[in-house]
Amino acid sequence: MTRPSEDARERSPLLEVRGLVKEFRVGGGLPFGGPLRTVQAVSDISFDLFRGETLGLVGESGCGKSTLARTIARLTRPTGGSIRFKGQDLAALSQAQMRPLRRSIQFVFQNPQASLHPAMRTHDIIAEPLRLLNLTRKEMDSRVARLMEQVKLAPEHASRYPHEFSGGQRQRIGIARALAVEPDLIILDEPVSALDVSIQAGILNLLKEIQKATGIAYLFISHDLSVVRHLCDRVAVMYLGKIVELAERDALYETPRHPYTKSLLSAVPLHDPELERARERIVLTGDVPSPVAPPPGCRFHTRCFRRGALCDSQEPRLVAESPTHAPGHVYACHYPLT
Amino acid sequence: MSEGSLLSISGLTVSFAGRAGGRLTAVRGVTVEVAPGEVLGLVGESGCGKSATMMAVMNLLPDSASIGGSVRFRGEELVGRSEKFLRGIRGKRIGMIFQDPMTTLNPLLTVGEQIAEGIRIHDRTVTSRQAMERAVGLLETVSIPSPRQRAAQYPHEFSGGMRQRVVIAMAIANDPELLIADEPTTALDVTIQAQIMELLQRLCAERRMGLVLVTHDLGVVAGAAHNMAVMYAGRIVDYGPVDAILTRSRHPYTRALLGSQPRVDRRVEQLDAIAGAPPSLAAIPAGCAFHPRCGMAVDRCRTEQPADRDFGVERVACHRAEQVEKHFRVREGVS
Repeated sequence: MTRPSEDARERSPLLEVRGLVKEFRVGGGLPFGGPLRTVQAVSDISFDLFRGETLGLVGESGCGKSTLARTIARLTRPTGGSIRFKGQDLAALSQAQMRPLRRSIQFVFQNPQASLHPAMRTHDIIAEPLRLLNLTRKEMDSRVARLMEQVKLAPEHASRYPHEFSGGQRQRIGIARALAVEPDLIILDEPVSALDVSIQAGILNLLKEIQKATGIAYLFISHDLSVVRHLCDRVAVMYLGKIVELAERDALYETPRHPYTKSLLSAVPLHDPELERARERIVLTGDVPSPVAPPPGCRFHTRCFRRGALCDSQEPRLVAESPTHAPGHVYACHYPLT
Repeated sequence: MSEGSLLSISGLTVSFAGRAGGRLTAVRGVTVEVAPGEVLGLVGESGCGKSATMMAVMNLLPDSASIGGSVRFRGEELVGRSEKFLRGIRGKRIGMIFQDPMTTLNPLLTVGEQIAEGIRIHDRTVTSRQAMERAVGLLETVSIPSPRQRAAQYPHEFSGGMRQRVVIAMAIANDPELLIADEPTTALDVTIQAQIMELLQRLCAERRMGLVLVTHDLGVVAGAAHNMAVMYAGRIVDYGPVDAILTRSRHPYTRALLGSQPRVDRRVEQLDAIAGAPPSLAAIPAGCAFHPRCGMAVDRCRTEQPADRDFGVERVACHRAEQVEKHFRVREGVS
């Protein structure tokens, strides 16, 4: 069986992001705001996302992964660049022009407690986005019943309120709501991070099943590299607003080229104590620098264990070394790992 | 209790006053030991009673809680002791680290002042100047660069990882014999988590300090702990050396937890999800609390609470411990 990403590449992408920039103004507020400065949370990001595939977006807190996702869904307006989705540039659309496209891109958030209305019953939460579609009462009810079955909620759950559910069940409601309008893309922002470990697997399995059945594409944001390896076809690693490496899942995990990817992977503790003690661990020194004043040259050079002469002056571009050997494996580093 | 034991908890129970006069039992008979220099991983999902157990050790629970059983520290009983007695132990002989460093630190005091305060509370013969000198030394011990300048700064001027180092410096300020760390790296990024775990392990080894590491992360335990105890619904269900528990546990819950987690070092096609959710304290199932979610449950599991049973180095509370190895080998073989 070929992986979805392999035959996906034959087709044209569902989403083409080019040179995307999102800036925020910070400070300037009186009397304690400090000087007015600009933060580039998303800095010149380009990638493609294909139908039916899952692209993982990983990085540490503050790297811009959530801002990138929110910008793509036009929950916030980009500062520059383009977002081509189904033949239109979302970056150039007004709020009104964006409205008919909103159903095509849905969002599932980290905390299902906060993203479900506490005073609405499950049925109404899932039905709410369907009100846009002019369905009859009967059509609506059968659609909701089908969605609940799809996310493995029992029919009697329809009349219950969010507080009557466990965290995992609440996240299932959030997923059913996102699926209701039959989107082409769901952006999942840390969908299992708030859940207990014994519950996470059920949600991850469910997401896989839904994708198999519907061919939906996922943009999956997570700081958990194990979860990403399980779910994603391709993975992009972000550091301080930039993609530093993007590759097929196995290539990224087994032969990472960027030193940041390598150190990120080596920092994840393994469950097997013998392997854990035996393996080589790169412990990075220091913290992620402030995005208000990113380091010149390569943004990672202040923490990098392979820093060389070029790194503090020249910014490395995202390049593919050998298109035949590992197609689509790109990284931004002057001194990549071999 | 063995001779060299630092902390010895036996038959510990914690219950809280519930609604309508009822009582909610959060900890139902916990027995576990920590030796000097030992790192014990106490793992479990939210609400399993792992934090309540450690709060009971320090007697930091609200008045609505009642504590039963025994907690001995260097042979001395802590349960039922006066607040005055416990104050001489807490923060001095037993240090504590909590999950969120920002809620532990006082935003209005410099980092140096807070560390110095903790030193002088327990020893009034130390002058402020001496205490401040020690604070600077402690910041250096926890590998904070330019410690003298940093001591004069406020918590908001530190990053999350640096703040957690400050909290660790405070916790070890009075050379405690035991450190209790409740999810010390959960709020941190993975590269910072690696730094903090390395620091904690170094401190334990250098000072022969015992460490109880309360966490939900089996990976953190695998890398740092010598022994581990797995809690479920207020009981320790599986207890022994990490190597034994993480590779050949005789408890179906531990096995199921391991099987349900994706791994960074290899691909697993399908995760074995555990059905249902952990029980609430108000409705702990009869018999073995795990039985509604257990793939191996038989009639006996529904009615009779399993006793602790010893299998060499491992202590397991399961009626079907003998069959666990075979059951999971068959399952892995099939998938």
